[in-house]
Amino acid sequence: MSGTVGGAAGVIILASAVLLGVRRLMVPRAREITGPADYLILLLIAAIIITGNIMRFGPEHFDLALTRAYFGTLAIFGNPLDAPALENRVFLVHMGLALVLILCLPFSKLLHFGGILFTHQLIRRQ
Amino acid sequence: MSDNDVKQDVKQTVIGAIKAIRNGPRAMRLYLEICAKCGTCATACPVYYGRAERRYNPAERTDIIRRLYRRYCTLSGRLFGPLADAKDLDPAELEEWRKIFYECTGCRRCALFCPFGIDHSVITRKGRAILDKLGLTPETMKKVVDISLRTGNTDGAGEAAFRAAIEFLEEEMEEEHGVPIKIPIDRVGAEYFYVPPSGDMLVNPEATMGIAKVFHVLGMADHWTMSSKFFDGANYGLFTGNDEHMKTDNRAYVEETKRRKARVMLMGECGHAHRIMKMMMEKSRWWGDLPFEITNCMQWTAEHIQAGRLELDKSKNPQPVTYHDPCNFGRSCGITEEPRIILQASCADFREMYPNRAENWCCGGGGLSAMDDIHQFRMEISGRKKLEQILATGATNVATACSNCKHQLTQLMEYHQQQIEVGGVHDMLSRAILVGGKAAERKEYT
Amino acid sequence: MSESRARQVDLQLDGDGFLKTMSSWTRSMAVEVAERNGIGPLTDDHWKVIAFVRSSYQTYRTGPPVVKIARHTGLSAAQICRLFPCGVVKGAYRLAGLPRPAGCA
Repeated sequence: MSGTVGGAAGVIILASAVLLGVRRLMVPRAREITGPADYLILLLIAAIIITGNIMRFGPEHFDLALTRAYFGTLAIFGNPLDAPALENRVFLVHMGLALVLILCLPFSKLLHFGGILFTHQLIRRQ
Repeated sequence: MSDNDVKQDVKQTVIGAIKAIRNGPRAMRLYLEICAKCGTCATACPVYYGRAERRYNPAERTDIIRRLYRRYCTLSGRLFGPLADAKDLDPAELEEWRKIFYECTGCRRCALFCPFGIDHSVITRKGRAILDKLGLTPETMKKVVDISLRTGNTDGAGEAAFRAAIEFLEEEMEEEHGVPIKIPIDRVGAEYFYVPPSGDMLVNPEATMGIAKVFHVLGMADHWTMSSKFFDGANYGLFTGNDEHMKTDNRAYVEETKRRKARVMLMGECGHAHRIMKMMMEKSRWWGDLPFEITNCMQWTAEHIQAGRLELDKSKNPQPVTYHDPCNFGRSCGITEEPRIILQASCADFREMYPNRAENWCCGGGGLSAMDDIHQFRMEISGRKKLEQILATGATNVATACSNCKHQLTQLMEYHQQQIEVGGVHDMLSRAILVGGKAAERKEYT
Repeated sequence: MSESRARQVDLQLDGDGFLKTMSSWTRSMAVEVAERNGIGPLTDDHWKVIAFVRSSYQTYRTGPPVVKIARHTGLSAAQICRLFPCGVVKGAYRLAGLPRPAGCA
């Protein structure tokens, strides 16, 4: 069950990212205001999605249970270095990029994903 | 000082102003941080509708400030520069700023449609404020502010001109109705102090006649007054971004209301004047507690119409009439129904234009109609959508409640050779209201 | 034709095409400004309006509203608009040599 839902989500989110990219490139009013940072962020997200999908649909199937063990070790401050999940290179890339994304959050326009919750409130008050 | 020193000096001033944003309102910082560059604002913008060019894209215009903000106020901008869309200032660009920041009408339609509610007009105003600090405000705007601070009105008219205009209006009204209808001047202790835009006194005086007739019919001719020195609510400090000018100009009117010992400050048909008084001055308590309340004349008149205290003869305005919601009333102050109540009571054929109310398109002149140097821009680019909207209604008369809109729309109709009359809301009322059971006997004005 | 005339009549205009100094106004200047703005040929009605605008300005230091011009010249507002197609302010005031009004008006 979770496999099917996760797989579908992976496909849908990839399609969304591609659509966002296409829109940015094709719609003049969006393209003309797009800077390097906008493309980089989009590429970063696309890379995370693609590596995720490779793990799921790729030839070398990746067992989700391994990530559970890995995060379990992290949660109890154990030593994660010998977790079997880390032997998968695609997972390393996927995880690494996701960490970069989280690092970017407070410093980039991605802030909007949190900001949207209170802009209207803030504007009305000031 | 060498040329280079001057440039450095200018740069320091700009960067200082950008850095000051960090200590300013949080909404402003949010606007600068979270724009996702989705381009939605461009679909809402009258200027971009008029011409889909990069320089007219609201997000691009505000990105001028945003790039500097990122360069000087954010970690990512400082570390990664252009990769994080940050860019340093080249003082040579300031000449371009002078044009580009005056190509936004500040109508705030983008703020309504932006998913995050980013108000580009606030950032535009910041850009203008920086220009003002450098003395780079366009000459025409500078001139209006100077005149306004010196004389108390943007037309530079003196007391004699004002009194002559009032006398003329009283004669007109007496001729129209056969009874004397007074416009009290400089009375102390009157309940209402009426503050119109000076354009409504000197160029389109019919609205003032409308107000005077309403007071007369209600038997309140002794309960209101105008001031012979402060008869212009217009405040160009809002448009040049100079808060000090805005507050100085504003204070004079608050003080005058106190001197008149008025209970109500009755704002005229002037969008930004009402907005500054009601939404900025009163809300932010610039001058503390006020001994009076602030109401717009349209709200006041509409209330009396609804209470059935005024009688109007619609057949005096048989032509199709439409209403243009001034951005400051419709979007920023929520005054949308009152003008419609007045117009529907005064006109036989009232037509809506679409979209309307808060979603109405800007006339294309927002705060810029005094600038003849950008006349062509206003006629062909920023005013294009408005022209199409008005033509689609088939109306031959556009009523609106803002001196600025009236000026822009009049020019727009002339430029595009349309036989459409532009006037105020109370103008229509003035032609239809019954005084002593009789509507105005009037010569054809149009 | 109009170029040669421009040389005969030395116009000192500001950026918006208004005369810089009102005292230097002459009838031939009004003719020249009218030609540049595509107004005219100037008729008696034009001159009536111009004369009233000038006298009104000299008394009150501000241009008269169109309804007032209509009242004093006996023309209707619509007629005045036809006489000065680019508007009272830009047309009549300009021809009469008034300085450009400042505000929204």
